[in-house]
Amino acid sequence: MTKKNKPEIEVKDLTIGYGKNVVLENLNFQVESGEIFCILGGSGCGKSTLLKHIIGLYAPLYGDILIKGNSIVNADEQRRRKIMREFGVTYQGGALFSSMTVAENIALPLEEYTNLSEEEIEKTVEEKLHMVDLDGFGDYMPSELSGGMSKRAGLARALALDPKLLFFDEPSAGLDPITSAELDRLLLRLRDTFGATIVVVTHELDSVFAIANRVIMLDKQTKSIMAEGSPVLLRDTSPNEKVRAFLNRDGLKSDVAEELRITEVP
Amino acid sequence: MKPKTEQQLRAISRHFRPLLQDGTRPVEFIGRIAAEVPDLLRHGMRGRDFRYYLDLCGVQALPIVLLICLLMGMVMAINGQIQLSKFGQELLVADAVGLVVVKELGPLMVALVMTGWAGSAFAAEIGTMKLDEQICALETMGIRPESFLVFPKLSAMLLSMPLLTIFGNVAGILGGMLVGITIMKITPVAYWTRTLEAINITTFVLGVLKSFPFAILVTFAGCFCGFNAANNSQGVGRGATKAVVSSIFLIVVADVIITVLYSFIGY
Ligand SMILES: Nc1ncnc2c1ncn2[C@@H]1O[C@H](COP(=O)(O)OP(=O)(O)O)[C@@H](O)[C@H]1O
Ligand SMILES: [Mg+2]
Repeated sequence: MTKKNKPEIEVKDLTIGYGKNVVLENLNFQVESGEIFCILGGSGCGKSTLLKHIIGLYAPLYGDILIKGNSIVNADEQRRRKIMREFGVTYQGGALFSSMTVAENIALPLEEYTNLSEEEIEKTVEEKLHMVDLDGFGDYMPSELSGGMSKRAGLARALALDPKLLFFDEPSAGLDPITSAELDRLLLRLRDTFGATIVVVTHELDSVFAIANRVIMLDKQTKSIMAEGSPVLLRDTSPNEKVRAFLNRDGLKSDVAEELRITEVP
Repeated sequence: MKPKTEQQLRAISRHFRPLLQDGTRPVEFIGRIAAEVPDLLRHGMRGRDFRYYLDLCGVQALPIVLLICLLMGMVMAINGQIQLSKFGQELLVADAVGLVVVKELGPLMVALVMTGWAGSAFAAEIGTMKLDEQICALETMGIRPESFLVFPKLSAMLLSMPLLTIFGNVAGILGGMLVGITIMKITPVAYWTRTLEAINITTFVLGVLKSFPFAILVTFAGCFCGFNAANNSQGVGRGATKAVVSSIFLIVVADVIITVLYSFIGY
């Protein structure tokens, strides 16, 4: 990849974990501006943990993370909040504020950070709801939505301020295939029309091949990056058998089979 | 010899260090919230949240507060009557009930009821929000979760607790009066005049003033235990329990301190 402009995200010698329990160590990678970057790996290997460190929620044990050249690790609280405000983030369960309606959830960042009038906010909220195919659900409470709908509502909230940098934690898990394909189309549109940079944690191979410019695969055993590059290239030419298996059609199945073998053989 | 003593000392200090850290965390929590007050004064807070908590902590809590204070007033009057009738001074029941309710029992009972009613709810609510990543979501929006979640609760409590205490005081006195009228056959007018003679406005106001620190303690204990709850369902449950127990403890300690302070100025 030609290095025309500065990478959007730079991860340098990053070691992360909880307390003394190291989850991933010595990670080095970059996310280029305007690409869709997928983080892959078996469950429990630390994908969500990595994401939460990149967005500055947790402090790493070692190493540095630069967002557009600014360290989010060493920034003081004020600055870190300012960097965070530039993101859109969705969480695995949607993380909608349970005391507010869906529309109020989406309106919250607009009320906090813009001077839009009430009508303008209302219009933006409807626009975002339409983007994620939730027209007419603005007045619902989060508890009245299904899992997939909460996720999409969370996505709409993340898009409220039209961020150029987006982080999604398993956005399509638990969605039906049609909605999932629509979500992929939405992500592509965000990248191609708005020039957004998108980091996605995902399990869905179909969607990885459909949208990802580049992927990294995390390995639980070595606590490091197993492979990095274009998903198609990795599937066809990776020297690592595990990587090829994961990215092949029955990759997930063999992954499960392997996990079972590990638990059976002492 | 010497290395061994040192080792033992180190072992002991290891056990105390977490306790010390536990002690600094609430201070840090209060500090973070206090640092946000200027910002709050400039921007205000979400009116909807404030109204919600005002309804929860004020309006909805009123019936149970009234009932408990009324019953406590009655209990005290009955006990007082048993003792005071030995000296033929039954009318003094009005003094006793009035003074105890206004100085101590009213503010204290309201604080304890609110601990169970609001403090535990705050802890469970914030604990659950942490559990399903709502707190993370606030942070990544650049909103400080501490102040965003604490201020509406705190202001609603600061407004409703004194009012509840006033209502509770009146209910307690009415409870005493009920016993006075039915059991001791004192006329309502006589009981009422006696009560007014016993308590003056300063006593009443000083009693109600106690509910401000109590409101702060209940809210902070509830919110703090919610923010520090472990990230699972049991953790949220334990957080709510801790909120109740620690805020009862804090209320009693604060009550002792306030009572000593009041005694210096002669009340
Ligand atoms: N809040 C936490 N405290 C301690 N350990 C955690 C916490 N969250 C996750 N972990 C541990 O970190 C590891 C990675 O978790 P996670 O990042 O959620 O995995 P993934 O998202 O890849 O499924 C797991 O072993 C998990 O037990
Ligand atoms: Mg995860």
